[in-house]
Amino acid sequence: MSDTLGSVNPSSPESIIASARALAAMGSHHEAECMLRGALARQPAHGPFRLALMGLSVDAAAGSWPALSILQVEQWIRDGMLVEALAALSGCSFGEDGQRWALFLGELLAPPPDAGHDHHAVHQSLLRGGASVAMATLEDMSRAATLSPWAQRRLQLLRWMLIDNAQSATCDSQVDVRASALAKALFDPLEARDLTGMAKAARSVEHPDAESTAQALDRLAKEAQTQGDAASADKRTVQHIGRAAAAMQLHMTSFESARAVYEQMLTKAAEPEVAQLLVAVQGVERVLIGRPFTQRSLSVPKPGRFEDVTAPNPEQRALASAPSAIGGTREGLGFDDVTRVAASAEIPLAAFGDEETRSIALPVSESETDSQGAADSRPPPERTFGDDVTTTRAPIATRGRDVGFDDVTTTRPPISTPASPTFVTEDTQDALLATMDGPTIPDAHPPSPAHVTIVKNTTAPLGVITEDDLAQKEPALERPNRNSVIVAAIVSVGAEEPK
Amino acid sequence: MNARLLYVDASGNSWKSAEAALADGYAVVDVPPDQLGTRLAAQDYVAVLLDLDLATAQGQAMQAPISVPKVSTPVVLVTERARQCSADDLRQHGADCAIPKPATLAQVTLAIAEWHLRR
Repeated sequence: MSDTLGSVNPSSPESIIASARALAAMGSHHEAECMLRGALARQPAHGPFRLALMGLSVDAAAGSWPALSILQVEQWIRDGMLVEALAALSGCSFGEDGQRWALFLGELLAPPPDAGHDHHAVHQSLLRGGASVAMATLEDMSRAATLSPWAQRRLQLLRWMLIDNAQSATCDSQVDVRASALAKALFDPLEARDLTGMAKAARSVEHPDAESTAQALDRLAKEAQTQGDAASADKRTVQHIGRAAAAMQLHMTSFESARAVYEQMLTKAAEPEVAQLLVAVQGVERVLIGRPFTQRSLSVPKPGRFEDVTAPNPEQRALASAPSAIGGTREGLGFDDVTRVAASAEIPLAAFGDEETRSIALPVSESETDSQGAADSRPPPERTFGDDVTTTRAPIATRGRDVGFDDVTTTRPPISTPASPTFVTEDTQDALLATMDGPTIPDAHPPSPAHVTIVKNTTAPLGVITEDDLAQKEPALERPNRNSVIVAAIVSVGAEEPK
Repeated sequence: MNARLLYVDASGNSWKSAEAALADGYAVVDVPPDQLGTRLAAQDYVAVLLDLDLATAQGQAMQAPISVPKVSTPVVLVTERARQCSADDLRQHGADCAIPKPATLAQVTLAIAEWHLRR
């Protein structure tokens, strides 16, 4: 075996699998199997654990594995990975410390003497990584009735393991003492899991964030104390959910875990106090890694600092002043300044309520033929082009009527070429209003649209072009997909009024 | 009062030491091999520990009463040759797994835990 796992998180799946293989390589195959079964019990859907369990003998013989350490086992115990820890303690010799832990876990994980439902639930929780749940269950049982000696003993062991032992363990917070003088000052009281001491240490340093950090730590210390007192008054030691659970994490200066609890609470209900606590925890976490207490936002650029890329180009200006088919110029329709924010009534697509580019997925088989380009070898679709257009029109037409368009996608007589439909698009190349891309199929067959993309660009002027115009302006659309059709009668402002 | 654990001591000299080693987690009940079936049927036990020499005829004779009357109880073979035990050896004695002798609290609990996690 090689060195210990070093900087790898000892509770990570990779670490557990490597440890199991190390045990198997040492000949403790049964313990290795137990370790993986314990991990699988906590994460039943974890494929790598299952695979490692299946190929344990082969994999263990194949490589060199990191040596197990008592520190790693203690970390597993703190993380509730009791079966894995017991397996490691059974398969390796860790000296006196290891023997003490082995006795402790051997007792804690022993089955209950009676088959009562609650006792069975406690045992199952302990086996499956739910040590805190098991403790909460025993706490509940102790409030409801006098515990049996067996249950009392288990509760004592769990209290010691989850609270006393965790608080006495070395702190594993990600603090960078080189990051700032403030982070350096906070390190020692953090290791001692002393929130009040951290606040004092923060005030002892000259740092722009010292006072805000100290105030946040005071707030967190008060919260931890308050919740602890409430639990004591209620004859509880801990709850596994809510502010009490977060307070327990604060007691252990496990800011990351406390933050996770607060964030979870805020997803369910907006509680101002919890939000304040979350801000305090996040601020302290940032300071510990040398970042400012408050998340700085990007500064607003000064006027004139950047070029106005939205200003109309000469072509757009010319179009804006060109006469339209329904009389007057676009100025009269509100297009006098093409870069301003238009009112919703002026914006054809906005009338449909689309906030952004929208994709309408059509049947999978059609999409596949489009993306794969394999339709050349397939028979033409049975349905007609008209059916597809009708299908895709329906939701658009429904919305269009709300703003006065009777049928926004009614097929219109061709304008220039009798055999080709009317194409309406924006003059700018990148502002297609709507395209229906069909698969690449022989021209003899009607195109079968597979995808409709509606692109909202409310400021660019619009125009009418024929298929030939389109072929020139949009070669990219023309070449890879000869049967692409642009459906845009819905926004023929200045050219043709939709019917 | 801890959970009861049935200990079948075929060698006749390991029960006392096992009782002391497992006392923190289990109430170890010694039973002669010929009474095993009766005891299993009469009371609930969280596990059966079989301390026997695999080579003895006495051990072979215990196969039937252990596996038949109480199939929902883990049976743990305690032997000095635990690592050499094959699946066939375990099946022959109606055992689910083997642990090295002398049995320790951690190993017994781990074996029972694994049995529960398999189910």
